[in-house]
Amino acid sequence: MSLFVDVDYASLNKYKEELCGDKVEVLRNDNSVIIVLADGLGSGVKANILSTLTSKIIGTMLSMGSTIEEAVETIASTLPVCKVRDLAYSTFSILQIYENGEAYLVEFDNPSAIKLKRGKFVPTDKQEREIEGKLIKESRFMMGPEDVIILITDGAIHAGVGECLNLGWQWENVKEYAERIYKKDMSVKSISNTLLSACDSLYAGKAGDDTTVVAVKVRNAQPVNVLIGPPLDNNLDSYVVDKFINQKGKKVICGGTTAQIVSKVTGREIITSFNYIDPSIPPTARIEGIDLTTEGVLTMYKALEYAKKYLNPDNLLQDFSGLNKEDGASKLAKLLLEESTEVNFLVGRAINPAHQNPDFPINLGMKLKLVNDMENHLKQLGKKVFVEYF
Amino acid sequence: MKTIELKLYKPSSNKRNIIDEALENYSRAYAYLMNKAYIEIDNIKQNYKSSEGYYKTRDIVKWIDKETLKKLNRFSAEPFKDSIKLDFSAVLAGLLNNKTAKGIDGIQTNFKERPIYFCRYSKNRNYSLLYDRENNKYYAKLYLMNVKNEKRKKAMGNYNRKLDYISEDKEPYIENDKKRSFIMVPLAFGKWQEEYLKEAVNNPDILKTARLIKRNKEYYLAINIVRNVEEAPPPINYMGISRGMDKTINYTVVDNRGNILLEGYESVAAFSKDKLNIIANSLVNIAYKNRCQVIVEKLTDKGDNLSYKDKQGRQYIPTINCSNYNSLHDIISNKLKANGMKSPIRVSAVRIFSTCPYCNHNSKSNRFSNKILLCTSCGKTIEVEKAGSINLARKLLHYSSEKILIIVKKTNKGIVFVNEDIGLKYYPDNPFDCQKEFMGEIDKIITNFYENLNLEKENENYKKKLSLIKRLEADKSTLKLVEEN
Repeated sequence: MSLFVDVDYASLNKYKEELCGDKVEVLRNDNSVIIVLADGLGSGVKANILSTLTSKIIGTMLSMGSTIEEAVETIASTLPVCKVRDLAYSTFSILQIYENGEAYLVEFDNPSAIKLKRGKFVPTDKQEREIEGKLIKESRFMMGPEDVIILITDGAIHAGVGECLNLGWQWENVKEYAERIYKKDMSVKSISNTLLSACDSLYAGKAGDDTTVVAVKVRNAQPVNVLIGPPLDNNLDSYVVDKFINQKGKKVICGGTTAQIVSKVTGREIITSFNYIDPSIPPTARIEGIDLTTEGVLTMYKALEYAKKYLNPDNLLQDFSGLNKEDGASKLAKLLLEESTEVNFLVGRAINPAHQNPDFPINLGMKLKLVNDMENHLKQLGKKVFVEYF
Repeated sequence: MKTIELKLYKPSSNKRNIIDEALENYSRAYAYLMNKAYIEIDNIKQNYKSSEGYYKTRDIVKWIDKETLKKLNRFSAEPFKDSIKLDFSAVLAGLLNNKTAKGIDGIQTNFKERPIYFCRYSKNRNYSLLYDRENNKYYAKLYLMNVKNEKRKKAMGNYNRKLDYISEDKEPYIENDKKRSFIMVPLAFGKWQEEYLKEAVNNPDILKTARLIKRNKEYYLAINIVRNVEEAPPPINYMGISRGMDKTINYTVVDNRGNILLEGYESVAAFSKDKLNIIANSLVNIAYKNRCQVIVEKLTDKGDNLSYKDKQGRQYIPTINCSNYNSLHDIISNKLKANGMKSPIRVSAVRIFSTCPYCNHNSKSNRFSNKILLCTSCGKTIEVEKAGSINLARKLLHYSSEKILIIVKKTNKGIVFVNEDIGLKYYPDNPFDCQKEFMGEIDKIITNFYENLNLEKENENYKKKLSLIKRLEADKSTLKLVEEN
């Protein structure tokens, strides 16, 4: 069984620092995903250099097949030494998840990872061993669909000290909060951002330490097929529609003419929706067996705007909460960004007669560009994307 | 309403005797009624409860029939019959409605010198005031004796003194030869009381009921004064007043968009009920300055879930209990009225301490500890008691921003837009381009509603429809189309 690993992370800089002393490295290869979270000694530039070197070295070496011993030895001998403390130091957590669900977790001085199964904390058995004088905790376990692992740096468990909580947010509290926020189908972005927002709020907006939360979720593969635009050669209509209908996974049609072609070929009726949720976004329609039917270019353009916001690390939780709206663009964006693990675009290159009007700002080139941009954004999220033109 | 207390100035020993006897008679008659009520309490409970489910003075009064009233004559209570009926009924209704106290079992049946209640201000019965304009002196005329009372005497007559009733007609007081059932006593007062007395000379309507009280061998007349107050400017902001875990009371003032303008708390060390007035004064002052509609928790049926039990089983309880909070509401209500402001609006307090004021997400899981609310949706944190007052302050805004749903159905006759509450059933000619026509239909509904207002008032859901129509008048974007699946 091939599983997909969704990863998202968010960081909070120490108050008045421009650089974050925590660093996350996500490396995807053919059969596994390696996530490295490093927390450099101190804060600012120095910590940033230490954590960047640590995460890069470990990530690259492990993905190239080196052992953890080799990676740790390399770090020990290459990290620059802090003049003040006479130490070369960065804490780290490494999580490697294979596509069959096998997971390998290595932790050095970072707060323990929080593993949730159906929203409840599950402890992992840990083995301790010393490498280059560093006490490393290792664990191997299996992860199933919908299991979540949260990695945090110690900034998270210091949140609230001296502010609204006397002793700060203990690891136990973080764990409890993670359990409380968990919802089935919750995206990794929501998990990481909600947790980080809680830390920020407990710090009253003035973080006392760099804080990073990494959320990892294992999911069953969820292909999404998007048919956008009619084929250039209308003799191919049946072929493209059949190909689209017979694909595995969820199906989305973007475009009124495209929906009419599907309706004609399959004999299924188009039912227009009256849910005028957002007047700037055209309403959706329903076709039996199709998960979402929307207008074409305007909806895709809006969905792309959502994707840009979604991927912008500076944006806050509320900036992408729009994905839960009911309009066509929000639904399309949520499907592509959060629910899919693999996206197949079937792009028709026929020119829409309505778009021939020189006053109309949309043309074929724009549609192709939208698909291309969306492809790039989805790839950044680690999803496999295939595009076919007709 | 205010109460001014005026001392009866050096009453003669004869007058003292008359007052003492009247107090005793009144108290015995009152005790008689209470004892009778104690015996017949089941009948009273069963047959004299109002349709709203609680006891009202005007219903309990009906229990005192003519026979019972006649029996009060043996206590020479004739001058006070009307007053004693009201006094007793109000106390009994209060006792029966008071769920937390002992109720009827808490009745005290031995009354020594219960203050005499005068239920009306009148020249010829109960009590009235007289004014000696020349000497700037005030007198009380108190009807305390029945016609059989041997202490009744003819007036001695002080012919150098010219007294006018404090009444609309300013009638001069004239002595006659008859034996008097009343006594006249000069009053002692301070500057504060004199202000009200002067006002009463010009506007006697402000004088309402009174009580004759004996305290430390002195006699006092406590008069209730109701002044017409100037109406305060209409509210433009909202002020939520909630209970607290740490502070006694928390408040938040928001504008008509829900933006927080002011927040704070009232906290008194070693809280006791008598400190409610201090808290109420401060809150009313803030509400007045900020032109607020005050919103308070309705704690009469459902609670507010402010108490908290942690994982170790430790129980945390609010600083003031529901009874004291309700008393605070009553005090605030009176003080607002005295300032010409609108009464506080009581709203359901359910969920105010578990709803995040930043994103409106409501969940019991949001309550992170006894004091902290940590939202499980947006991650924002806030003190629980602050969240409560913010949510209260915004409560009316939330009610009015709720969408009015229009169901879009597919029928044999075509697409139809339906909302039964406002009586909408609209079949558009072209469902794909009907926005203008649809809005015209809504306008028609509003016009028809006002044209047939009398008929509408007879409908069961009139109030709901009125509220929806008003909201539509103000803002049509509150409509939301929902397709029926």
